[in-house]
Amino acid sequence: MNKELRTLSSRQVTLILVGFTIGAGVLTLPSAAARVFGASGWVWVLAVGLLFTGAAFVAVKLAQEFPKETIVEYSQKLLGKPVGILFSLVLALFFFSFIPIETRVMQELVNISILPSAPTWFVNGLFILTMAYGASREIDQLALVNEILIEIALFVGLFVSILAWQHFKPIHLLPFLAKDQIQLERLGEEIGTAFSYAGFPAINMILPYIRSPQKASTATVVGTLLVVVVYTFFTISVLGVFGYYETIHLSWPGLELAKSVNFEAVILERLDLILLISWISAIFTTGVLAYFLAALTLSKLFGVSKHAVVVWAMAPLIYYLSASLKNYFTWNRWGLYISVLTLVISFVFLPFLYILALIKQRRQQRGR
Amino acid sequence: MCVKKLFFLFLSIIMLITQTSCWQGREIDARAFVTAIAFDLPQEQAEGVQQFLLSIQVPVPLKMAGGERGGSPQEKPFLVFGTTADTVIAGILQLQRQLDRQLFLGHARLILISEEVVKVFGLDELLDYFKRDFRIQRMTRIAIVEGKAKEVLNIQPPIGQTPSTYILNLISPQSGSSFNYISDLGKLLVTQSDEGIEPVLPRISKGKETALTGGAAVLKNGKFLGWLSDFETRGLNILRTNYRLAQEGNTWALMIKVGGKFETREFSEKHGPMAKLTEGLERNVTEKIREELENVIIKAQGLGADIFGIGRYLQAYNPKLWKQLNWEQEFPYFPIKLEVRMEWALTVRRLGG
Repeated sequence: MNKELRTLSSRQVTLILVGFTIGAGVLTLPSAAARVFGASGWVWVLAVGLLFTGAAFVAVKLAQEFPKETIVEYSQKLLGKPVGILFSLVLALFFFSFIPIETRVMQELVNISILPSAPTWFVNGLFILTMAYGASREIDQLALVNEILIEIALFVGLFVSILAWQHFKPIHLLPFLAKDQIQLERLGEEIGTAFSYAGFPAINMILPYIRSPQKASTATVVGTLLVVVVYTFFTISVLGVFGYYETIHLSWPGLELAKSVNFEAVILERLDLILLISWISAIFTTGVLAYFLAALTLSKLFGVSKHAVVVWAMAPLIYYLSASLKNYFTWNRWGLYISVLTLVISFVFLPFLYILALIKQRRQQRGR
Repeated sequence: MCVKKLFFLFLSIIMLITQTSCWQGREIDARAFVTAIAFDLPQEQAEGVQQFLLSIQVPVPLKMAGGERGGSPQEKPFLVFGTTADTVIAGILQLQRQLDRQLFLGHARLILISEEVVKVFGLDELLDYFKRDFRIQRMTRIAIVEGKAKEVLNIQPPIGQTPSTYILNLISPQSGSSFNYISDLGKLLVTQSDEGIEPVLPRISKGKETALTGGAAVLKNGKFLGWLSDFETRGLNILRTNYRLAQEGNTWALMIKVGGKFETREFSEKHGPMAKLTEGLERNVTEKIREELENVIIKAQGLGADIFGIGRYLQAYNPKLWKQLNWEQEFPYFPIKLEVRMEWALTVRRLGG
């Protein structure tokens, strides 16, 4: 890896993690949390978030053991070639699986708001082309685009949430942790929460591009914590405005939040549209980074010198998969599969690799 | 290089055509904006079929312009027309067949439902469509009409030109009347799905030439239970404040603390010396308000509908007790104690008679 590639600043790394993690999942997160933890759903979101922050810390520590390599290379060193390749394939699948679902959710948002009857080929096709164009660039350009888009999306989201606080009633968040409202047997929703938090394994791919790898752990933890704060705040807002009983019936709590406030200015009267449009950019950042990372993983694995080739080769498959996710329920199931994959990678694979790396390091030290 | 240039040329052409964001663009004059929707019972009910009369109000832009080019004052700047249907969407599609412009519900801000139709159909059945259509805002206001809802839609407002805005303002906070209960679709849905609180919707009726507001309808499980009078509605508006649960031996009671200030604006009789007046006045006003509040509590307990959200309060602050109670049966007999204290906020322009 030559030096010129190290271009990403710490701030950009944080925002890449935020941009990659925050996407379609957050729009449905409060409902799922309410179904599991009732009126105290935000506690669930916070707790899971902190768990993931821990996992992110392990992931970045692992990456820092090999500051010049991506996980594709060092997983083969640690696990041996065949298993390492298999692992990298799973990781590529993990990154890849986000793209169709993000595309599909984006199409849904466009269809319910701006262009009600625009067909799939038009909306998805253009979105995938745009993502492919973005993903075929280099990481430093992506980081710049991501920086702008995710900041706009977060700003608008925050704006809407704060406006909605005029309907906020603290009583909606009570009773706190009531036993009859906590339904831990709802495994589907619980695992589904992981979908919203999947994102930090990106650090294991981009570390060689970071200007100062030793600062990466702070950047990663800050990024993940930022996501936790955003999610918790959003869940508290939704639960406080709608109450637990109403929240569990909402498929797009974020949109409903925007629909219940009015900003008395002509162009901002339909606040839900503004939120949707800016949220499409949040989905874009997730999609384009997932696309880039999937292509990068595969090209490193198979020794393709230009990842752009892989990017364009994947486009038809993404289109096919995104079009095959027929409705809300289909992609929620797909999200569940991704969540399982996320859990396995975050809490089994990466910690296991880290332990292996530590053992190896100790052996080397002893050898000396 | 040539291939690359050609590719980009091709891409730019595609983008020019597609990226203008006008997929199936609809001109504004190809749309008819529905500003208000009303539900009634049809005058004649076909046998064996349950149907309601769905009316919509559509502004006519030409006549709204006013001035010389606008229509004569007799001509209304809006159209109200309706159809019988058994579901909302069937009604809207039915109405669409009579209109050459596409009906657009994104700006529907008012839903009026007549008392009779709520009694027959229930609120849930009527509002189901509005919960599911993405274009409907949660700020849409809903009112229950005493009499015919369609007639209210036909009222020509005394000031201003769009009747739906007129009625909307009447049941919004800007009406400035404490006899109105302020609610909207979002609030209705939240109170409807919450446990231990029942929804209330404002009442509208048709006066001689204007719409009349004041009073409210009490609902439970989507069914109409009864009306709150003007004063009872004011009582309800005052009451939702400061709850406290108190235990006396084995029985629980709810304490509601109401405090406030009042002004004197008009005297109907000559009044006595200041000191006596202050004391007597504060006591009298406190008594009067306590009476008003007690009336609405008695009314709600009589109807068996917890419109104050006392059950919700219990659930939030004393979940143990809440679990023991069968609120449906307990609420009518649950002891509620009032603590009212009113103060005379003295702003005086004239002393003496």
